[in-house]
Amino acid sequence: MSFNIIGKKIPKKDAPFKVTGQALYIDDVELPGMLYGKILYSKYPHARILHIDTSKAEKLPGVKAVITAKDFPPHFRIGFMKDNPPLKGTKVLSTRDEIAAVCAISPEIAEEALDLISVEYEVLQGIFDPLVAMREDAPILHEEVGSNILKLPWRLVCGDVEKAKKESAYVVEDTFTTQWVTHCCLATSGCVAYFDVNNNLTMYSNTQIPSLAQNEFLEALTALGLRNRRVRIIQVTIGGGFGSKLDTYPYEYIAILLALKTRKPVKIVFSRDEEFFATSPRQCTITKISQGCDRDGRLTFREVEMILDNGAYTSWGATTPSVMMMPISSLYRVPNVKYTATCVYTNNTYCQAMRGYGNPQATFAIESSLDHLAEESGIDPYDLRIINANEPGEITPQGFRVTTCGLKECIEEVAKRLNWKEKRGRGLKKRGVGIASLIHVGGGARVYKSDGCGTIIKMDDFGKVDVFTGASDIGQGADTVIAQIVAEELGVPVEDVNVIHNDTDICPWDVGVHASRTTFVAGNSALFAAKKIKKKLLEILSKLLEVPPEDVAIKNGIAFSKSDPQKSIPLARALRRIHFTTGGSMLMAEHFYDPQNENLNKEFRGNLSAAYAYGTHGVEVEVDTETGKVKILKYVAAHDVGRAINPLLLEGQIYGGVLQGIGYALSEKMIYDNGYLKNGNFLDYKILTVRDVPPVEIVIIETNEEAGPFGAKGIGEPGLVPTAPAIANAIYDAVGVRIRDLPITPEKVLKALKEKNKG
Amino acid sequence: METKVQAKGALSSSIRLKVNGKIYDLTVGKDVQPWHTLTHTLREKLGFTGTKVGCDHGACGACTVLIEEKPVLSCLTLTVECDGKSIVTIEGIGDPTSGRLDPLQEAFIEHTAFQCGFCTPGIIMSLKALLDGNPSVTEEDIKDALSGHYCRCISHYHVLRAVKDVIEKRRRNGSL
Amino acid sequence: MIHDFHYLRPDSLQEAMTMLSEYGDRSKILCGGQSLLIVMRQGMVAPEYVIDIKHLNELNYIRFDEKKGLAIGATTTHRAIEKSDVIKRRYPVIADMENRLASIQTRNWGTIGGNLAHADPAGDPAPVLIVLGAEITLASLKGERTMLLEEFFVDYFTTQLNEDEIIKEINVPVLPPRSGCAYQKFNLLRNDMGIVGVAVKVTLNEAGVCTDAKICLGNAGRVPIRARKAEGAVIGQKYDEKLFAEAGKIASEECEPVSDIHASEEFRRHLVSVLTRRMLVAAWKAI
Repeated sequence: MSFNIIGKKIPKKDAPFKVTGQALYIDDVELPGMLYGKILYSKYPHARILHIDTSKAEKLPGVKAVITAKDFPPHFRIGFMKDNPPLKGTKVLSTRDEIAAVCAISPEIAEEALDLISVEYEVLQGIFDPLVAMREDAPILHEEVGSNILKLPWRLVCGDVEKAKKESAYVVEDTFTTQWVTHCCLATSGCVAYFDVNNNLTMYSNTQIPSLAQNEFLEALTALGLRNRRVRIIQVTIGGGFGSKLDTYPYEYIAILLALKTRKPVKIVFSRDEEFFATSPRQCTITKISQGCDRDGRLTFREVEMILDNGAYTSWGATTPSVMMMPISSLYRVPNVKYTATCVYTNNTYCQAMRGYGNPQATFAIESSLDHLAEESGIDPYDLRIINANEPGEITPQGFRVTTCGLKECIEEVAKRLNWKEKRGRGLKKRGVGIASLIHVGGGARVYKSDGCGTIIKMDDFGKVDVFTGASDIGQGADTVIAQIVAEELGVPVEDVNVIHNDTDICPWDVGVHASRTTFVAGNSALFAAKKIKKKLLEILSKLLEVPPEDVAIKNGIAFSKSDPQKSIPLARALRRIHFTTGGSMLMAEHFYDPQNENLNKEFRGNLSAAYAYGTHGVEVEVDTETGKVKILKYVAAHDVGRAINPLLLEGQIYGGVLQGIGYALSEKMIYDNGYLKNGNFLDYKILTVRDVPPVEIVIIETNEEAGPFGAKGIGEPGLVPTAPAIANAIYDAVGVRIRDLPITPEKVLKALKEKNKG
Repeated sequence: METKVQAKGALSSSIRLKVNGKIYDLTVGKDVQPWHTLTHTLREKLGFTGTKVGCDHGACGACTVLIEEKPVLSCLTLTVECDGKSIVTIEGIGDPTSGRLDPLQEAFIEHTAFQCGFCTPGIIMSLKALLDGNPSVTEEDIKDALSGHYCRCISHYHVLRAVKDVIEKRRRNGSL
Repeated sequence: MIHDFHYLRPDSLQEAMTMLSEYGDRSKILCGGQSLLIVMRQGMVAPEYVIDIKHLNELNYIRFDEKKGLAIGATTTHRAIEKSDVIKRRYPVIADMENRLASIQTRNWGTIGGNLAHADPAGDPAPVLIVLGAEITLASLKGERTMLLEEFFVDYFTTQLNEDEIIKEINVPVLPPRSGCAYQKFNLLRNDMGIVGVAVKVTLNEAGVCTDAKICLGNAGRVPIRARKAEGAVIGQKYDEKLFAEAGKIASEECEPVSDIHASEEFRRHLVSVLTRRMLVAAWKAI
């Protein structure tokens, strides 16, 4: 297939704004009369609130409102399990618990006012270890729930694991643990809330889920007694998402209430330390995994038991086991699978979505364990993966219907470029190679009842196209990819396509930026809308050119007859002609695309996604055995992306994913000590800089997914899924120690080396 | 003795900043407080919101501006320290009258050297200082200039391509 | 948010010292502020008066004299030191250390005087300057005094500076012939603060025997620590990697590191041992 615009390296549409400083982020929003909100957080991870005195704060000149839990309706809760009051009135369960909030004419006055609020606490014993919280005698953190174990039925059973285990020639068992890591969006969280005279709410927001947030804020308004109001979400330029903005947070409801109380726009923007402790990280996990294979290396079973520290409240972090099931059941062909996960309340921070949504934690365990199995069975890790690689047409134990699958090609490409056969198993110069693969949803994910996205297209009198999409652009390039898809379909230059994606008043519904779904779902939605408008356009052009519709072609904004190219008309003129005439018309079309995927049933079976993305990462490391420091010498990332709509943006997604993954593997960790975050700043939380990034070679495998727009599948998250196990496996190959706890710090490597030498 | 520049009382005086070629006289105690950082003044007082606040503790580099042609963290610089200094922000490069962009900005567009773009103004300022008047820039120099900048979308690869492109074009045109 | 203060901008060192004598512990010298503003923002330091001396050109210089050695004025920026031709030529270890100190932006605005006065035991310049035998000159209205830099540091973030004193100058003697220096910090990311840092200077006689060795450990105690016993182990000896390993071990026993979020005490001691050996090798090879 040949394309004019698809597959081209087209710069991102918002580039001119971003390179000139004109892009407006939340901190740049200024409205007349705007007030500044600040939040008072708990001093203790677990305590009863005996008394809150806000009188001094209220009297401070410049303070316009002070609110506490009393100002919210008593039973108003937010979050996936509705267990989180935006302001806590009787009990605090973590150091990020919001107790009071202030708004004032300047941020400095608001902050000063916070210091004037006095809170009396009765300090309670905190629980910071999920294993302790699971004990029978542990104090119950949420009395209304009655247990520290969340009532979430994460249990997947396919086939007969016990039988398969007995029959396996080789069986391994390991326990892996992962840490809290956080998104570190360069722009901190924030919003501006204001009410008009009709009590309709406008939120300037960073959200990744405008339609869902709109719904949640409407519920809040109803709870506040404002029935049948409107909520308009306007997204500013979003300074990084990575999952962090997939839920609504207490600060947003606090801003809403402050705005309602003062009748003024209220802005809350987090400081960097708030961004660290008061947003929700990737959840930490304890994973027990067992896998087995037969004499020929064919996988026989996989059994995984997992405990997740849910923290004090429940956001999407608690649902990540639903995604972890995907690699556990369907990464490589494995006939018998058993998976259980337990989410446990503690007095730690509560967790949320972060790029990969549980998949990195699960894949770290699966792929590390697979290398262990390779060793146990004496099969080369590469061969073991090739033997078990998924193939097109397969239906996995969980019921995923695999359409396109380039996993084998990915493994082969990576091994070739790493020079696997030469380098593996030598341990020369303390160097080693490792590989790990991934599966991820690549055709949306039916998490909600709808996985859809709407698009409206109109063409104007000048031949230009406006596309109103439900998709959000969080930097990943949704705007540009959608413009390319529409431009390709309509035969207009890509610069003539304007994509509007940031206002719920004019953009159709979409479930949000998650599950690597935007190119696939919003792309298809835009494509089908474009096909509809094109059909209308061709009919009109056929009349104007006096040729049959099938003889009309459009290229570069000019319509012509294929059989007689002399007959041509610029689109703009054609559009004006049908507009400015008696009984004229304008060209518009809409489409709501909802992919052919399925909600998982009660047994967690079903075809979750309309297509699956695959990939393999390979890495060569060098380990300094005296200091334990790991250096990455070479990194290869091969991804089956269906089709690269825009290689420039695609590479960006993979680079970004890989390097966040390397941070996850080697340097990043939120250090909590008895409920207090100890490294909540950019000096002590270690994200890679340009000095630390290794060379990364990207390999794009195109499998042309029939269901995808021009063959594309999702690629937003996969880049960081297999990174940590690929590195861990390479370290093992280099120096013979397997680190089962992330991040793999020099200190851990050194300790393991010492133990190995002792043994 | 304490009459030089003071916040409290009637003895306030003024400071002069040149920002993007324009002179601003600011009264200390009124337009600017002693504890105001340069970031604060640029953004909140003078409206140069292209300068970003990523951490406000000198780690991320998003607030980088040029003071006397050198990249500096405006979040770790007091405005009053900058009395008499010439400052350039992202709004001050390229040609403001014609709207023509700086070659660095053009290259950043062509290579889409960012995703969210929040770190971009600071990065461009550091690279601007690196390239201006420096005929022989090595890869090591570029990495050195970038090492004080966090980018969580991790577009460093595209940034490196963009800078090298500018250097290459410059070489071909025989200009500095 | 930074607490409100009076900002004072003296025109001369003399004026600055007068201000200091008047405001004493109610004031704080600002000389680049790359550390000071961070601790002020955290509320750990809240001076009533901030006396800004960064612009004082009389303290902004790098001078080299074949006899007196190197003199660096307190307001000289890290970047100026890093880029100084004479320092690159005569004391490459200083230029290399500066190149790895934080970011260019910080090096452009931050000063050597500010860095030393902040007295963070993880600071890079101190260990290197200490092994080079640097002296520091402090000035007040009462006069000047000069001491070895290694005697300047008292405790975490605490120095010999009296309330009325300002750092005026750092002096580094001319290196004797057949001397070599090396410095390395161990960190997770390249431009981070060091988990530990080790600086070494050795001087050999014509027979290749070590006549003088100085080893200084950064972030391995409350202040930069001279590893005197380890030095003793190599003085009088020739190049011997086994011996250097032994010296490393000795150094790891004479330092006083603590456990923190970045590393355990045990790991720090281990790193001191490894880096000391490596820096002895590197210093020898640099001759």
